[in-house]
Amino acid sequence: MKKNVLIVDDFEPNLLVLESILEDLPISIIKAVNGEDALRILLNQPIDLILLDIKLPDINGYEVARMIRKHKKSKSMPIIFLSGFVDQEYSEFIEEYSNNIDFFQKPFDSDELRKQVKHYLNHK
Amino acid sequence: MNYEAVVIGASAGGLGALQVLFSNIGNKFKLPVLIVQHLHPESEDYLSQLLKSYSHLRFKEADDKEPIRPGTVYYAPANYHLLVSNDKSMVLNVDEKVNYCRPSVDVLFESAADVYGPHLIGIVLTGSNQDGAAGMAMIKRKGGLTIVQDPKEAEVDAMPRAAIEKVKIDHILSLEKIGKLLTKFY
Repeated sequence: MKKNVLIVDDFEPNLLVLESILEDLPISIIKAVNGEDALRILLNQPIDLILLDIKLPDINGYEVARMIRKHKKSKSMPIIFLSGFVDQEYSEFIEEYSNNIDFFQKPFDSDELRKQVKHYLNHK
Repeated sequence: MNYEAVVIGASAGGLGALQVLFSNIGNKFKLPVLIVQHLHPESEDYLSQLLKSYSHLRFKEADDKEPIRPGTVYYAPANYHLLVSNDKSMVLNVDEKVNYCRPSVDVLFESAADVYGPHLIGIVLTGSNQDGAAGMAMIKRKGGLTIVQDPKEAEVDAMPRAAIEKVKIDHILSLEKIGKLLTKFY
Protein backbone atom coordinates (compact mmCIF):
# COMPACT_ATOMS: atom_id res chain seq x y z
CA MET A 1 0.00 0.00 0.00
CA LYS A 2 1.16 3.51 -0.75
CA LYS A 3 2.45 5.54 2.16
CA ASN A 4 0.79 8.90 2.86
CA VAL A 5 3.05 11.93 3.09
CA LEU A 6 1.60 15.21 4.32
CA ILE A 7 3.38 18.36 3.12
CA VAL A 8 2.62 21.64 4.85
CA ASP A 9 3.63 25.09 3.58
CA ASP A 10 1.66 28.32 3.22
CA PHE A 11 3.48 29.32 0.02
CA GLU A 12 1.98 27.29 -2.80
CA PRO A 13 5.08 27.26 -5.03
CA ASN A 14 6.94 25.51 -2.19
CA LEU A 15 4.29 22.79 -2.08
CA LEU A 16 4.68 22.31 -5.81
CA VAL A 17 8.45 22.08 -5.44
CA LEU A 18 8.10 19.40 -2.76
CA GLU A 19 5.63 17.57 -4.95
CA SER A 20 8.05 17.71 -7.91
CA ILE A 21 10.85 16.33 -5.74
CA LEU A 22 8.82 13.47 -4.28
CA GLU A 23 6.16 12.57 -6.82
CA ASP A 24 7.97 9.66 -8.46
CA LEU A 25 8.25 7.84 -5.11
CA PRO A 26 5.54 5.26 -4.36
CA ILE A 27 3.65 7.63 -2.06
CA SER A 28 0.44 9.63 -1.92
CA ILE A 29 1.07 13.32 -1.33
CA ILE A 30 -1.44 15.30 0.69
CA LYS A 31 -1.05 19.08 0.90
CA ALA A 32 -1.94 21.56 3.61
CA VAL A 33 -1.45 25.35 3.57
CA ASN A 34 -1.60 26.09 7.31
CA GLY A 35 -1.32 24.43 10.71
CA GLU A 36 -5.05 24.00 11.27
CA ASP A 37 -5.48 22.43 7.86
CA ALA A 38 -2.62 20.03 8.65
CA LEU A 39 -4.07 19.01 12.02
CA ARG A 40 -7.52 18.43 10.50
CA ILE A 41 -6.00 16.13 7.87
CA LEU A 42 -3.99 14.28 10.54
CA LEU A 43 -7.17 13.58 12.49
CA ASN A 44 -9.03 12.28 9.48
CA GLN A 45 -6.59 10.03 7.68
CA PRO A 46 -3.52 7.92 8.35
CA ILE A 47 -0.30 9.82 7.66
CA ASP A 48 3.11 8.12 7.57
CA LEU A 49 5.37 11.18 7.38
CA ILE A 50 4.96 14.94 7.58
CA LEU A 51 7.11 17.62 5.94
CA LEU A 52 6.39 20.72 7.94
CA ASP A 53 7.26 24.34 7.25
CA ILE A 54 7.96 26.26 10.47
CA LYS A 55 6.64 29.67 9.50
CA LEU A 56 2.93 29.10 9.03
CA PRO A 57 0.32 31.87 9.14
CA ASP A 58 -1.77 30.46 12.00
CA ILE A 59 -0.05 27.97 14.32
CA ASN A 60 3.74 27.70 13.89
CA GLY A 61 5.33 24.42 12.83
CA TYR A 62 6.68 23.61 16.31
CA GLU A 63 3.23 23.99 17.84
CA VAL A 64 1.75 21.77 15.14
CA ALA A 65 4.49 19.20 15.88
CA ARG A 66 3.80 19.35 19.64
CA MET A 67 0.15 18.63 19.01
CA ILE A 68 1.10 15.75 16.74
CA ARG A 69 3.35 14.28 19.43
CA LYS A 70 0.61 14.52 22.06
CA HIS A 71 -1.66 12.20 20.10
CA LYS A 72 -1.09 8.53 20.79
CA LYS A 73 -1.36 7.47 17.16
CA SER A 74 1.17 10.04 15.96
CA LYS A 75 3.58 10.16 18.86
CA SER A 76 6.36 8.59 16.81
CA MET A 77 5.35 9.82 13.34
CA PRO A 78 8.44 11.08 11.51
CA ILE A 79 8.46 14.87 11.17
CA ILE A 80 10.81 16.73 8.84
CA PHE A 81 10.89 20.45 9.56
CA LEU A 82 11.60 22.79 6.65
CA SER A 83 12.77 26.31 7.33
CA GLY A 84 14.96 29.09 6.03
CA PHE A 85 16.93 29.18 9.29
CA VAL A 86 17.68 27.12 12.38
CA ASP A 87 16.38 28.87 15.48
CA GLN A 88 16.48 28.49 19.23
CA GLU A 89 13.01 26.95 19.26
CA TYR A 90 14.30 24.01 17.25
CA SER A 91 16.94 23.21 19.88
CA GLU A 92 14.24 23.38 22.53
CA PHE A 93 11.98 21.16 20.48
CA ILE A 94 14.53 18.40 19.94
CA GLU A 95 15.44 18.41 23.63
CA GLU A 96 11.83 17.62 24.29
CA TYR A 97 11.18 15.26 21.37
CA SER A 98 14.23 13.81 19.67
CA ASN A 99 12.68 10.73 18.13
CA ASN A 100 12.02 10.71 14.36
CA ILE A 101 12.67 14.41 13.93
CA ASP A 102 14.74 15.98 11.21
CA PHE A 103 15.39 19.49 9.96
CA PHE A 104 16.16 20.67 6.44
CA GLN A 105 17.27 24.22 5.93
CA LYS A 106 15.96 25.91 2.77
CA PRO A 107 17.16 25.83 0.09
CA PHE A 108 17.65 22.14 0.79
CA ASP A 109 19.41 19.45 -1.19
CA SER A 110 16.56 17.64 -2.89
CA ASP A 111 18.50 14.36 -3.18
CA GLU A 112 19.16 14.41 0.57
CA LEU A 113 15.52 15.14 1.27
CA ARG A 114 14.39 12.24 -0.95
CA LYS A 115 16.87 9.97 0.78
CA GLN A 116 15.56 10.91 4.20
CA VAL A 117 11.92 10.54 3.14
CA LYS A 118 12.69 7.06 1.79
CA HIS A 119 14.58 6.19 4.97
CA TYR A 120 11.67 7.11 7.21
CA LEU A 121 9.11 5.34 5.05
CA ASN A 122 11.16 2.15 4.85
CA HIS A 123 11.70 2.00 8.59
CA LYS A 124 8.17 2.46 9.73
CA MET B 1 0.01 32.05 -7.32
CA ASN B 2 0.08 33.90 -10.58
CA TYR B 3 3.35 33.78 -12.39
CA GLU B 4 3.42 35.59 -15.71
CA ALA B 5 6.83 34.79 -17.15
CA VAL B 6 9.99 32.72 -16.78
CA VAL B 7 13.52 33.94 -17.48
CA ILE B 8 16.42 31.52 -17.91
CA GLY B 9 20.15 32.17 -18.04
CA ALA B 10 22.66 29.60 -19.27
CA SER B 11 26.23 29.60 -20.50
CA ALA B 12 28.75 26.79 -21.01
CA GLY B 13 26.88 23.48 -21.12
CA GLY B 14 23.61 25.34 -21.61
CA LEU B 15 22.48 23.78 -24.86
CA GLY B 16 22.43 20.30 -23.37
CA ALA B 17 20.82 21.61 -20.19
CA LEU B 18 18.05 23.38 -22.12
CA GLN B 19 17.30 20.18 -24.00
CA VAL B 20 16.89 18.22 -20.77
CA LEU B 21 14.87 21.02 -19.18
CA PHE B 22 12.41 21.43 -22.06
CA SER B 23 11.99 17.70 -22.54
CA ASN B 24 10.62 17.65 -18.97
CA ILE B 25 8.15 20.50 -19.44
CA GLY B 26 4.65 19.22 -20.21
CA ASN B 27 2.48 20.33 -23.12
CA LYS B 28 0.02 22.31 -21.04
CA PHE B 29 2.71 24.80 -20.01
CA LYS B 30 1.68 28.27 -21.18
CA LEU B 31 3.95 30.86 -19.54
CA PRO B 32 6.25 32.78 -21.85
CA VAL B 33 9.93 31.94 -21.39
CA LEU B 34 12.83 34.26 -22.20
CA ILE B 35 16.31 32.75 -22.48
CA VAL B 36 19.79 34.19 -22.55
CA GLN B 37 22.21 31.49 -23.65
CA HIS B 38 25.78 32.73 -24.04
CA LEU B 39 27.88 31.74 -26.99
CA HIS B 40 25.29 30.07 -29.11
CA PRO B 41 25.98 29.84 -32.83
CA GLU B 42 24.85 32.86 -34.84
CA SER B 43 22.55 31.07 -37.25
CA GLU B 44 19.15 32.51 -36.46
CA ASP B 45 17.08 29.41 -35.85
CA TYR B 46 19.77 27.17 -34.40
CA LEU B 47 18.25 27.05 -30.92
CA SER B 48 14.72 26.55 -32.23
CA GLN B 49 15.83 23.68 -34.41
CA LEU B 50 17.71 22.18 -31.52
CA LEU B 51 14.95 22.50 -28.93
CA LYS B 52 11.95 21.81 -31.15
CA SER B 53 12.72 18.12 -31.28
CA TYR B 54 12.54 17.96 -27.47
CA SER B 55 9.39 19.92 -26.84
CA HIS B 56 6.00 20.91 -28.25
CA LEU B 57 6.45 24.54 -27.23
CA ARG B 58 7.02 27.27 -29.79
CA PHE B 59 10.64 28.46 -29.92
CA LYS B 60 11.78 31.61 -31.65
CA GLU B 61 14.56 34.15 -31.62
CA ALA B 62 13.39 37.40 -29.98
CA ASP B 63 12.77 40.38 -32.27
CA ASP B 64 13.09 43.99 -31.20
CA LYS B 65 9.72 45.44 -29.99
CA GLU B 66 8.07 42.03 -30.28
CA PRO B 67 5.23 41.51 -27.78
CA ILE B 68 5.74 38.64 -25.33
CA ARG B 69 3.12 35.96 -25.97
CA PRO B 70 2.12 32.99 -23.82
CA GLY B 71 3.22 29.52 -24.81
CA THR B 72 6.31 30.82 -26.56
CA VAL B 73 9.98 30.43 -25.72
CA TYR B 74 12.14 33.35 -26.86
CA TYR B 75 15.92 33.53 -26.88
CA ALA B 76 18.29 36.44 -27.31
CA PRO B 77 20.02 36.66 -30.69
CA ALA B 78 23.83 36.37 -30.60
CA ASN B 79 25.51 39.71 -29.77
CA TYR B 80 22.34 41.49 -28.57
CA HIS B 81 21.15 42.19 -25.07
CA LEU B 82 17.56 41.10 -24.53
CA LEU B 83 15.41 43.21 -22.20
CA VAL B 84 11.75 43.40 -21.21
CA SER B 85 10.09 46.80 -21.55
CA ASN B 86 7.22 48.17 -19.44
CA ASP B 87 4.58 47.26 -22.02
CA LYS B 88 5.76 43.61 -21.82
CA SER B 89 7.41 43.56 -25.18
CA MET B 90 11.05 42.73 -25.84
CA VAL B 91 13.85 45.14 -26.61
CA LEU B 92 17.17 44.25 -28.23
CA ASN B 93 20.19 46.50 -27.99
CA VAL B 94 23.94 46.56 -28.52
CA ASP B 95 24.85 48.43 -25.32
CA GLU B 96 28.17 47.59 -23.70
CA LYS B 97 28.84 44.06 -22.59
CA VAL B 98 27.88 43.24 -19.01
CA ASN B 99 30.02 40.63 -17.20
CA TYR B 100 31.94 40.45 -20.49
CA CYS B 101 28.77 39.13 -22.07
CA ARG B 102 26.25 40.23 -24.66
CA PRO B 103 23.59 39.00 -24.35
CA SER B 104 23.87 39.20 -20.56
CA VAL B 105 21.71 37.22 -18.15
CA ASP B 106 21.80 40.06 -15.59
CA VAL B 107 20.48 42.54 -18.16
CA LEU B 108 17.51 40.30 -19.00
CA PHE B 109 16.78 39.33 -15.38
CA GLU B 110 16.96 42.87 -13.98
CA SER B 111 14.69 44.35 -16.65
CA ALA B 112 12.21 41.45 -16.31
CA ALA B 113 12.20 41.79 -12.49
CA ASP B 114 11.34 45.49 -12.86
CA VAL B 115 8.38 44.72 -15.09
CA TYR B 116 7.00 41.49 -13.59
CA GLY B 117 7.93 41.96 -9.90
CA PRO B 118 6.63 39.00 -7.85
CA HIS B 119 5.11 37.36 -10.91
CA LEU B 120 8.46 36.27 -12.34
CA ILE B 121 10.40 33.01 -12.08
CA GLY B 122 14.19 33.29 -12.60
CA ILE B 123 16.31 30.22 -13.36
CA VAL B 124 20.12 29.98 -13.59
CA LEU B 125 21.60 26.93 -15.29
CA THR B 126 25.11 25.64 -16.00
CA GLY B 127 27.82 28.15 -16.93
CA SER B 128 31.38 29.18 -16.37
CA ASN B 129 31.02 32.78 -15.21
CA GLN B 130 28.99 34.84 -12.73
CA ASP B 131 26.42 36.35 -15.04
CA GLY B 132 22.92 36.00 -13.58
CA ALA B 133 23.81 36.30 -9.89
CA ALA B 134 22.99 40.04 -9.70
CA GLY B 135 19.86 39.46 -11.76
CA MET B 136 18.70 36.75 -9.37
CA ALA B 137 19.27 39.11 -6.44
CA MET B 138 16.97 41.63 -8.14
CA ILE B 139 14.27 39.00 -8.85
CA LYS B 140 14.38 37.90 -5.21
CA ARG B 141 14.21 41.50 -3.99
CA LYS B 142 11.09 42.11 -6.09
CA GLY B 143 9.41 39.01 -4.64
CA GLY B 144 9.85 36.65 -7.61
CA LEU B 145 10.76 32.97 -7.37
CA THR B 146 14.44 32.02 -7.77
CA ILE B 147 15.55 28.56 -8.89
CA VAL B 148 19.08 27.34 -9.63
CA GLN B 149 20.17 24.14 -11.32
CA ASP B 150 21.75 21.85 -8.75
CA PRO B 151 25.51 22.55 -9.11
CA LYS B 152 26.14 18.85 -8.49
CA GLU B 153 24.61 17.97 -11.85
CA ALA B 154 25.55 21.13 -13.79
CA GLU B 155 28.09 20.55 -16.54
CA VAL B 156 29.88 23.70 -15.36
CA ASP B 157 28.96 24.72 -11.82
CA ALA B 158 30.43 28.25 -11.56
CA MET B 159 27.31 30.12 -12.64
CA PRO B 160 24.86 28.23 -10.40
CA ARG B 161 27.30 28.50 -7.49
CA ALA B 162 27.77 32.25 -8.01
CA ALA B 163 23.98 32.75 -7.82
CA ILE B 164 23.70 30.57 -4.69
CA GLU B 165 26.52 32.50 -2.99
CA LYS B 166 25.05 35.90 -3.77
CA VAL B 167 21.36 35.24 -3.13
CA LYS B 168 19.33 33.12 -0.72
CA ILE B 169 17.93 31.08 -3.59
CA ASP B 170 14.46 29.61 -3.08
CA HIS B 171 15.08 26.23 -4.68
CA ILE B 172 18.07 24.24 -5.95
CA LEU B 173 16.85 21.46 -8.22
CA SER B 174 17.87 19.10 -11.01
CA LEU B 175 16.85 19.99 -14.58
CA GLU B 176 14.29 17.20 -14.54
CA LYS B 177 12.67 18.56 -11.37
CA ILE B 178 12.74 22.15 -12.66
CA GLY B 179 10.92 21.00 -15.81
CA LYS B 180 8.31 19.11 -13.81
CA LEU B 181 7.87 22.04 -11.45
CA LEU B 182 7.38 24.57 -14.27
CA THR B 183 4.67 22.36 -15.75
CA LYS B 184 2.74 22.82 -12.50
CA PHE B 185 2.86 26.61 -12.90
CA TYR B 186 1.05 26.63 -16.25
